[in-house]
Amino acid sequence: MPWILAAALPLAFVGVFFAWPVATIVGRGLLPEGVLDIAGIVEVLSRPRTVRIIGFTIGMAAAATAITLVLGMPVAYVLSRLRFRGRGVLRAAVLVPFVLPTVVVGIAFRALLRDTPLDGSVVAILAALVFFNVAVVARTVAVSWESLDPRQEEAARVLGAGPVRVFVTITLRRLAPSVAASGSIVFLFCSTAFGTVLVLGGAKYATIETEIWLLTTQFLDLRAASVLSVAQILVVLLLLALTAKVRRSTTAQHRSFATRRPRRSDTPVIVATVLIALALVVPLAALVERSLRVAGEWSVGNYLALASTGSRNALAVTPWQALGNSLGFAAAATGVAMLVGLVACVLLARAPRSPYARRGLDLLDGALMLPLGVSAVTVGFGFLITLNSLPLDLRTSPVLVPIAQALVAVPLVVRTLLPVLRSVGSRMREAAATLGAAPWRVILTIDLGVAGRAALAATGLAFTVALGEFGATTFLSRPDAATLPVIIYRLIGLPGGDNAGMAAAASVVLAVVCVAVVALVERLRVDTTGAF
Amino acid sequence: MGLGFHGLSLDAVTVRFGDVTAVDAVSLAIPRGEVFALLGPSGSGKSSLLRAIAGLEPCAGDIRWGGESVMRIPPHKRGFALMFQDGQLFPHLDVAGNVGYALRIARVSLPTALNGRRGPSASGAAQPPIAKRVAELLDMVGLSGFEERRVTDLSGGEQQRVALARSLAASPRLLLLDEPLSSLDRELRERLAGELRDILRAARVTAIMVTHDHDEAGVIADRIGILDAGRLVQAGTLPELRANPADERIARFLA
Repeated sequence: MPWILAAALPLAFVGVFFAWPVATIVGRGLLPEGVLDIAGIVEVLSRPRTVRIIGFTIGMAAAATAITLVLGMPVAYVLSRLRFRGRGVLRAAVLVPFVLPTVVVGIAFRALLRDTPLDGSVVAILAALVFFNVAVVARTVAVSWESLDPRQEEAARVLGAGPVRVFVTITLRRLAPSVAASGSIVFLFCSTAFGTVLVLGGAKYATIETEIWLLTTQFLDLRAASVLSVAQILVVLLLLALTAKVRRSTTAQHRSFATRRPRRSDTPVIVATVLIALALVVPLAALVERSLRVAGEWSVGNYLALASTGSRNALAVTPWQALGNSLGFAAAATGVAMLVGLVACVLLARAPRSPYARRGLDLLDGALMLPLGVSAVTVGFGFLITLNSLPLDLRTSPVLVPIAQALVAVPLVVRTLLPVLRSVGSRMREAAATLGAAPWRVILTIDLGVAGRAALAATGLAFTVALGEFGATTFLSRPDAATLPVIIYRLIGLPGGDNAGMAAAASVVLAVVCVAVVALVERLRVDTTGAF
Repeated sequence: MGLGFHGLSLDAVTVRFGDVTAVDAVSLAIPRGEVFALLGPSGSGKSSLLRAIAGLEPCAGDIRWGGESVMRIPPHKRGFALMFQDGQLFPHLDVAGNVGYALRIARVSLPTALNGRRGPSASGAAQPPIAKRVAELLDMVGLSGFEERRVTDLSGGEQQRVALARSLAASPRLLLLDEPLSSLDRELRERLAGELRDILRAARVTAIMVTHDHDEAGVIADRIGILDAGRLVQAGTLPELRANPADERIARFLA
């Protein structure tokens, strides 16, 4: 009975703040007057613009995923197989782009490509998406590469296979599950990317995600937005179902074989990795450089301007105040996400006897993963159209922002904590019980004791995710309580060089906060790849 | 074995997993202070019986201690400590944290329950009685001075000694040992068997040990019960059993 009560918390959270808003959108899109409006759906889906946008979204996500996989592999190899000074730094550096807020990534690429033909092009969007996601592939694949016994490759070599054949027939085949898993997650992130595409694509290149935003906020065409949301949810559900299968097949025990010093034959891989690492640094360097220029001259003026409301008082709050708002919202969101995530993980880590209870846990697991895939814009839009009715009139309440951010962070918390809690076997809990520990004490001293560091790491990750959240927050934050990513986006939409410079400076500030948090997380040496 | 019986009594204890009957109507009385070995080949149901006694496996029949049924008492209130085959040491606690686990449960309430973590505030200085008891127990199992060692750095034999000390720290009414030595290599196993007997005698604890090694059972236990396909076939001292085996199979098994 207490277990059912405990399960009620995460389920209620996901139900009220995710399933209900999303279901309402589905209803609005498909059943406007209570009946299935097939003609309306067909009309929206047959608009040339809709067809183009859906095609562009899928094509671009596929291309970005392919490039990310190719670039992620050499980094994964170097991280998993070679031993050298600076390995920890490389590990951490690769993760940095992934934790940067999407808006910051967009601004960085605009700073890098400004005054070139690539500014505002598809290439810029592709490059930014790859930049953001290389960490997912590199770190996920590195973990399973570490677990591959190198002696199998040696055995193949001895049997006469050349290095390429060994890689294709042995290594790649055994890495296939993790390559597929990371590839599908990257595809998910790319196809639902919002902030980056909005900043870089402008009005010229729209994806499903930015189009939903445009349709709701600019054209007030809620029906078309709902139809697009439904289309996106369907794609994501399909993809999640596929990845769930892969995820289950990759739960093998993690082993770590000894790394070795680099050899001469590793040169091409090392060169590639160094180039990729440099390529990850370049946009950030461009961002810093841009933030230090006012009217072409070196200056700290942009940073001083962060205490102002922009040229012609364009903003309701100063960027520093917005940073304060962001930190406050993110702290609240992290608290909510950790509470929900911890309760859910303690439950999910158990292996109950009853098949019904097991099926229930599988459902809870899936329900908690859904927000990872369903677009944040849909969630924010859903909040707007549902949470205004009694008994929950929260639409004008500032609590919506942290709740939406927590929703986005919960899957990450669950993926970080769950592998660690699952490593606590049921027999260890039984040992504690026969020593006299009541069930609540087993949770406190054994589950949470073992997962303590992972919980700290998850807290840090949840905080950076909440801090950078843009898709849902942009719907929900009020002008007088805007977050920093929202302010940054407002600044680049306003004419005038000062505002663009301020946006760059504010981006640097936000990036520094995120990187500092991640540096702390990395020091904990917790494997955060389970998060993907 | 009426109400006045001091010790453990099992009455037709039966454990089923779906259609499989792992333990089939086992009845047994173990007086207080006795060390009893459950001997049988793998799959004979001896671990299931042990888990049922600990309250970790649902079962039919009746389990009584001192004449009172414990069937409705949850594992953590039975006072029956179970030591697992592979120790199941808590990896996030040091040796002292593991051994002192039950001692902290006995005396502290919720807010300080988390203080078992490694670090300056570990059980040591703040609570001298616990530290003293931990030192005594470690001394008893031959690991004096191991308090601050990480359990992951210990050898297999050392881990099992820590697990034994941790179980004894709970001052259990009944100590259940599930193949306590079988994860160790043979030489160590033979040496530790004698030590284990001495420790159990010194602690004057009532114990049931599961094993598939009759020599080990003979060294450690006062009496041996032979389990085959879930049924208790015969019980007695090793010489008794050898002199008078119930059937051919048992005679061969004890040879």
